[in-house]
Amino acid sequence: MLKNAFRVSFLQDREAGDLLAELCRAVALEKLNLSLLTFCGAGSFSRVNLVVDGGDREKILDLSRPFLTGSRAETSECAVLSIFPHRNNPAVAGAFLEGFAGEDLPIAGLAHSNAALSAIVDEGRVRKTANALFERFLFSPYRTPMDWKLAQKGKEKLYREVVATYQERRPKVYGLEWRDENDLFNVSDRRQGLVESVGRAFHDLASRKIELPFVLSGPCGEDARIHLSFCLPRSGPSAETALRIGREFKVETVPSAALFSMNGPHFSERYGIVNDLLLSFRRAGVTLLALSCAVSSISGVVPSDQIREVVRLIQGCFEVPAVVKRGG
Amino acid sequence: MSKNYILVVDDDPDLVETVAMMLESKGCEVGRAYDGVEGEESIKERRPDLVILDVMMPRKDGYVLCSEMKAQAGTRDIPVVLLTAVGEAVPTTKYTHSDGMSTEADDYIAKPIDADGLWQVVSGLL
Repeated sequence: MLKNAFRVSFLQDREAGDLLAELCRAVALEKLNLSLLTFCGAGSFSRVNLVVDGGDREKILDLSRPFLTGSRAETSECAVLSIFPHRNNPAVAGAFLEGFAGEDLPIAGLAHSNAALSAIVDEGRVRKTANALFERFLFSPYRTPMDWKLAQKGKEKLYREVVATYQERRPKVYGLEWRDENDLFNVSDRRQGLVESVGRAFHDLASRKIELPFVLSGPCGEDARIHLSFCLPRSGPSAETALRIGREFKVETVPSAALFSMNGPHFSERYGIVNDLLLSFRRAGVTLLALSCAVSSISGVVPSDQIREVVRLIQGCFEVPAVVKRGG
Repeated sequence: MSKNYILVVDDDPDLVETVAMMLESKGCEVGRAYDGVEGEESIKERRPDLVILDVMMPRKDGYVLCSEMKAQAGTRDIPVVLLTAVGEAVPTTKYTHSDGMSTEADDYIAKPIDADGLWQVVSGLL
């Protein structure tokens, strides 16, 4: 758990320009570390969550205020709860979503990395959320929520002991992975039943041994619409999944999507990582369909015909020892 | 021939998966733990052929776990590789390479890890 955090969430009209890139640039110039970021662009809005350490609350508010005039924004003290490893098993994401839905808990945002699913949970709901997750999962090191809570002590102090003052021109990453031949699905609705419905659909995918390589949730915003984005390999079952959800909720399909993901040491401690990425994408005209930055990893979705350019751009921004193509 | 069983202990789950994939691609079986206490319990449950151990972890850091392993007859001869992010780029931390080697670790690898470098170290110790 990452506690004592602060989130800024907003919706932006997609015609209004690249607010996310501008804000990330301002954050980088101020040398603020982002603990978590999610972005999804679907329908008429882009939906963004930014999470910083609680101590940076005033800074992020000051930085974001000029950008949020006219945008639908909300802020709150929060925590980030992560479960891992998920191994792209949809049953893990399904149970995660059902944990929230079962207790009628709102998900302020959901981020994805190769190993972890991370949910932004508003302060005051953390205990209830942790209890709900213990109902759904068996966490081998912790028998009870109290065991888990006690184990969190000391983690924050540890995270603060390393002060990131990196001099390297290009941040290092462990590796870059990408996969093609996916479809991106965006679904949003005001009804909380959406979360449970998608959770059930994910369990169905798991029974068919279909991988879930990406899932993300954007903020509700003033329109109070729950929003989920996820990728599935292009195949019959994925279309069926969309149809299953689509019986109750409107699903937008973005065909021919590709995913990239990378993680690196000290992403969470080094400012400017996502700024470098977004700047390079913008200069090259890359269309970013979704982005998830969680602690030490970045995952994103782009149109299939842009993935090779994205790989090249990332290699230009970061020291990448290896590039691995995964199955669709 | 049975596979080598390597335990990876790091509080960064994404890094654990990255390292695990590197080792599994070399035909190893990989166990995972996410802090020093979990790592200790995992070692008691199943003896690994080698342990890859992050230094900075909550509950019990890699130096302490390594020192404890090397002090006990049952685990003394298990090779330990310390993963360290400590280097020139991180000027202010209490963790240093010299502290690491004084724990009798068998080797250390500086992050970020590349697959070839990792395998070179691991295969040399197995």
